[in-house]
Amino acid sequence: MALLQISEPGQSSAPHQHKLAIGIDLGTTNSLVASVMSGQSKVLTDENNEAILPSVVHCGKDNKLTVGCEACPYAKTDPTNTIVSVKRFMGLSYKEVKEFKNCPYQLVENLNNVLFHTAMGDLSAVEISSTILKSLKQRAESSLGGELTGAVITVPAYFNDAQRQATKDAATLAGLNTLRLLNEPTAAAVAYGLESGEEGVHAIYDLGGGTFDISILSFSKGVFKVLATGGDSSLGGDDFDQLIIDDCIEQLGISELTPAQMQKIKQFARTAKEQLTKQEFAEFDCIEMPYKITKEKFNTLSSALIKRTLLLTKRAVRDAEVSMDDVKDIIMVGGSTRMPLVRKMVGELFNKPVLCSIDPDEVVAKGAAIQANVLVGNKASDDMLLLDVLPLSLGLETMGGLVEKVIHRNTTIPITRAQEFTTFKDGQTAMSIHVLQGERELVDDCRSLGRFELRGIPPMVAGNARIRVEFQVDADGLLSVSATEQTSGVKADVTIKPSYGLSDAEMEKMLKDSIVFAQEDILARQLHEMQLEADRTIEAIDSALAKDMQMLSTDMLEDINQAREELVLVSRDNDEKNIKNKIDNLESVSAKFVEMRMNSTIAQAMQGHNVKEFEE
Amino acid sequence: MQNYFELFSLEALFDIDTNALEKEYQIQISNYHPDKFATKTEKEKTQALQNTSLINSAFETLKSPLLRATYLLELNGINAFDEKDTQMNMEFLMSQIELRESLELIETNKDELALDDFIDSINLKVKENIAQISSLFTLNKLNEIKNLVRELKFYIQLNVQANQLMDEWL
Repeated sequence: MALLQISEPGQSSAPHQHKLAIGIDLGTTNSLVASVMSGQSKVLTDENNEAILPSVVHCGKDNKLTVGCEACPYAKTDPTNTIVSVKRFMGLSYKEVKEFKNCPYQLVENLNNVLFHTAMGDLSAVEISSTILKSLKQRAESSLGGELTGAVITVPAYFNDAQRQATKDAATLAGLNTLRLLNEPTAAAVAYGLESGEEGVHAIYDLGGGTFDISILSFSKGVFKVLATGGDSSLGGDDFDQLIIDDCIEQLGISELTPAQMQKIKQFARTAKEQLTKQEFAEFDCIEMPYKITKEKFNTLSSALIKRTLLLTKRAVRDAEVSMDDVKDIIMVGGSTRMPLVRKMVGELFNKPVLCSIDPDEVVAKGAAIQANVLVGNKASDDMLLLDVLPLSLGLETMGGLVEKVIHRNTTIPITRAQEFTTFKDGQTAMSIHVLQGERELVDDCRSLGRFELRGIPPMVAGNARIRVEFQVDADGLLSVSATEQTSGVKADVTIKPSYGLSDAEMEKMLKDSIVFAQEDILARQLHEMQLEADRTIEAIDSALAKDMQMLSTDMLEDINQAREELVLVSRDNDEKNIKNKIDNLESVSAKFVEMRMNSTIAQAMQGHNVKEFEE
Repeated sequence: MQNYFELFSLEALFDIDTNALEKEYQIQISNYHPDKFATKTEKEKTQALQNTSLINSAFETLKSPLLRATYLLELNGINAFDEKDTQMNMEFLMSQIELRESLELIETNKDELALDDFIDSINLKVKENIAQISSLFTLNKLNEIKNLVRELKFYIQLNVQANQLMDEWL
């Protein structure tokens, strides 16, 4: 493996230009969009001056799609066609979704995911989410007045690979260029960290509508490093509502509820929960019967759920290899941290008051916007760096239904790791590889990310083949796996995208029949992306030439200049394929140059060490 | 061959300056992280991903005493965890069996205090073991180090198990 191949990170030969970038908090209950304007991260509002977009999508008759506030009333009148809290369904299989209680939707099983049967047809969670993102994108474009360079989208730190991939797919479907998937707690810390300038170890306690996240991170000299994360991707404010619903059903002896009644009670329960943060009791009429709950009763019911979050918090602190006393600040994020009992119990655990000065609903979007602003290059590149960790261990199935971990949770990402396996039968020519995510030892207790087969292994005596399975996790926490047979010079290589999500072909089809896009839109966007890639390639070669032209012979320089000219000529054409060809051509013509420069720059990076090839 | 130590401008020794390592890591990762290439070409992004993966692996290896010792042995041509060479000191294995039995007993009794003590005692063993490895490295006694490294792995795995148990009880 060649080491450190790039130079001048973050530098650009193009003149400085302010690019439009946004941060999106794609929440279970509410979603927000923010952007940095005149150095300040601000939440963007809609034409009614509302910052919060309820994550509610109504898929009505005659293809009438409604998103946000306007969709909310439909939750009562047309619950089966009104998708609420779609985030809870992201990246889940039919089997997993089936376990959800009181779900008013008509769910359809589809290969490896779930579809909602609506008046607008069968739609996936990814498609529903993309309509929310599209709405936020439109809001941002109209309030910022221009085309967006990209977006940082937040996800719970505890989201597994399937859930992350689904989120990224939703962004692509909405026509957003995802600069980075950022963990919500990290985003919150960015918002607080930069405002208070507080260095040290921080805990971010994030209890949202549907998820709980706890992150322990350190902030020092502009680098945020996640030390450990923990949480539960199906524990949140909705569960506290459910406590009230269950109590109500039990107290009133209700045996059956229609979906419309269920939806109604859900809303009542949520209101009651909110009232209980300020008053001693709450009451509502449930199908014409009065129901009342006291604060004391609610606190008793809630404490078990909160205790679970405290256990996960303790574990994260231990994983971070710090003590409770080392934690300087406890940042509270998510609407559910408005509950006084939550603040009290968390404060007691750390034995210090918790921080809640930034609106817990807005803090994540604001932090994401700050990161987006840095990523598009509006600020000096050495300003801030966010280092995230892998939230859940990744492994492979081995004999006896056991999981062998390849990358452990809390490993800093990006990371690549390989494991070697061998054949166990004489003449074995194929091997099945099953990729899993989770902490438990048994395959059945972990989340299956995908299976693939490695074929074409040359027949050998058992134990002689050397199969190297490589896991690569990128900065977004997304995994790709490849396997190679290494002996006898025969190489079989396969790269998979885990099978839960969407294949490229499925994605393309979805883009084409998308409820969000007309077909011309997509083609135009793909072309535009290619034109941008051409610009970036030209910019990269120009900056390399400006620095190191003297390395080149006249012939090489001529070849590169010619390839560059050819690309410049076609870079605004409408022929996507041709642009791609010219990019590839310029890259291959300048490959030698890149290699020469690489060697000279590693020498610099290595502070004068003699540089040779690096073998792992 | 260039190695992980050189990557962070450190001498290839077991006793390293962890502050210098952290500092150098921070510089390297800040230069090569994919976030610095968010608006660059796909190729540059891929290279940034590979570079950062390598820097992270190197950092992780050097930070952990167990991995650092294993890596140093490897640089000296010794594979501490060769599957064909599994011979261990009998006395040590017996002591491991005893430790495992006492952990099982703690589990059956659900004795939280005893578990706390158990974890502390294993941590102490780990510390002692690391100190021994460190002094043997100055004497370049690689075969003895190999045995200690293998023992260290036993202790660390035991610790993981004990901590998992703690998790379940939490």
